[in-house]
Amino acid sequence: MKLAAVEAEWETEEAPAAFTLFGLPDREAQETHYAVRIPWLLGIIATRSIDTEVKGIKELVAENEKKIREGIHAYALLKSLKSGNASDVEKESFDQIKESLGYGLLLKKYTDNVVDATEEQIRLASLDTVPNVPVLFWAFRLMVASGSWMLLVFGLAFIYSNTKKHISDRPFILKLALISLPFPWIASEAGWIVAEMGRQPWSIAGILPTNLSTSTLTADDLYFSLTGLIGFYTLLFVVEMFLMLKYTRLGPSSLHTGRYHFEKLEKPEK
Amino acid sequence: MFDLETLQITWWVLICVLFVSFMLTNGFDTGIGIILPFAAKTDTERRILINVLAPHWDGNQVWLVLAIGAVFAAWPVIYGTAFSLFYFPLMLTLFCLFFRPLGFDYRGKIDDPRWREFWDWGIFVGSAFPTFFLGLIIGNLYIGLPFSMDEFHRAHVSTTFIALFNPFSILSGIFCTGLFIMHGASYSALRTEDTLNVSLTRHTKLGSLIAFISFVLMGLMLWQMMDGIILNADNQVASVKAGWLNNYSTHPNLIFAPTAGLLGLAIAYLFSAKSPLLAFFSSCLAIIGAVITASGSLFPFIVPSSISLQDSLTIFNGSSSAYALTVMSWCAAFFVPVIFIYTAWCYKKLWGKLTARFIQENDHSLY
Repeated sequence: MKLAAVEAEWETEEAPAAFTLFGLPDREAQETHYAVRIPWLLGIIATRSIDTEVKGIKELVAENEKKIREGIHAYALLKSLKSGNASDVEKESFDQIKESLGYGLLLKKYTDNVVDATEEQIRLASLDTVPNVPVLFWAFRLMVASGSWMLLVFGLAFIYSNTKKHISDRPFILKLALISLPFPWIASEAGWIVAEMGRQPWSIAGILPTNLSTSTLTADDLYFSLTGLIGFYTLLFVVEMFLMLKYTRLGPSSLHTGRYHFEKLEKPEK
Repeated sequence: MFDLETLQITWWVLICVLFVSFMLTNGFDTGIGIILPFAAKTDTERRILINVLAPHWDGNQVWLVLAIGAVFAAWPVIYGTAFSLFYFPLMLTLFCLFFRPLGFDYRGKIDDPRWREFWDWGIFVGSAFPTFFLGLIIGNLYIGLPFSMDEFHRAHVSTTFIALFNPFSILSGIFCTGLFIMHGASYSALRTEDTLNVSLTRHTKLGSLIAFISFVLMGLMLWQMMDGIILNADNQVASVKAGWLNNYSTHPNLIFAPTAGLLGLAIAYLFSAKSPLLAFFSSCLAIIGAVITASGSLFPFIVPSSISLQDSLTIFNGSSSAYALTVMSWCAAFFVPVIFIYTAWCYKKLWGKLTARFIQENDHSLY
């Protein structure tokens, strides 16, 4: 599901599937507008073959709906097991479908009893198994773009550092390196978004839904800690920047060990 | 290989050992942080104290991480419940702890008395408050906490920060602070000399006195004033008067723990000036006694519930599966000795007295 969502592949295509380079995924309509597609590529990347299908989101939703229906049954059996007077037949049939229990729990969001879920609720729960496609689609592309950019900068730096002119005399590549500083951070944040949002609605895929795995702390509790952390780190950032700039200006020669650049300049030639 | 109950008790013992290690090591660097603005008056003296703990404090923190990590892996329900229950004190602990490494790193960066004074108090805050909160949290376990469990064994928590402050838990916080002051002062007394040393032995006395009095008071409260809970033979939880002392009548040997605690505190008080080494070892003895007393009185409970007695978490209903505990046992059997060995090696390498001259000679490379 994560793969299909990251690539915004709504329909199962004939193998090998095409790769959508860019586009505007639309959650409501379940399609990608203005898609720029490269034939075959997704099938090859994802399955390393040209004859295996990559399942699309719509097909996966239909599969999940079946699992949710099975999960309702598993939940009912679990209740009866817990009450302590379940028959052996019930135990056996629970063992067969217990893998789907987590899917049944997806309905907890809509009905506390699970077993009395309506058709509409089952439909909604199966749609819930689709993570936020547009966000994933773009976060993934942002991550790959940042990574490629870094590769480019390193490549250029490698070429420049092997030319006759010293790299410190080439302001272009130095400036490029300077403005590229945030890209590793952007790449890892975007990758984190892909990982975390891509596994929704699960904390543990297929077993534990996210809304059942949270603590019962209130939103106010979290505002307190979040405000504290943000406030604290902002303050720290200011202090740290001040100290860093101070020591960068002083430079290593302020230690007067006689080993660094400016001290050598100050010393008269012997 | 082992049955579940054996594994559960093994992990209870192991987590106790980890907490003892945490308090023995982290206890002295936190203690030094608490007494820093009081025991040392000049900048050089303060730098001596900071550099006594400098090579060790973050290594010591490993024991805290390990102990909490072990709680997470061995007792996931207890971990989840306790961290929701104690959300505010733990968050405040975290915020206070920020000041410690910052203080160590920043105070020397600008040569200005006000700047240094500020960070010395930062180190104090980062040491004193976490210590107090540690005691406060452990004290509250004896009071019971407001939570109940739902069908998924998920804790529903209703707690306020203010409710955590009650006479027993405050006393427990004071005890912990006294214990760490004594431990920090007796350790640093081993590695310093002159006037600083004299001042440190005074603080060893002060710390052990505070800890001794609060320890005795807590014992009296458990005996005379408070209800404790016990696990009946039919696995039902019952609340009875002086219930927390029940384990001492079923296992009379347990009495050695509080005795060792009090003995350690007394010896540390009496011998702080005459024999610093003896004072330090008896300070260690006091800590070991205190941890065993605390966990032994609670056994088998870890987090008792005040609103739904039967939902109280014990080492039996709060532990992970036999499979998880077995895998973890193998990991622990390898890694815990490794950590013990490298920690010991690190202490051996960096042992020795720190003098004012040493600080001046290494002005740029020390904190």
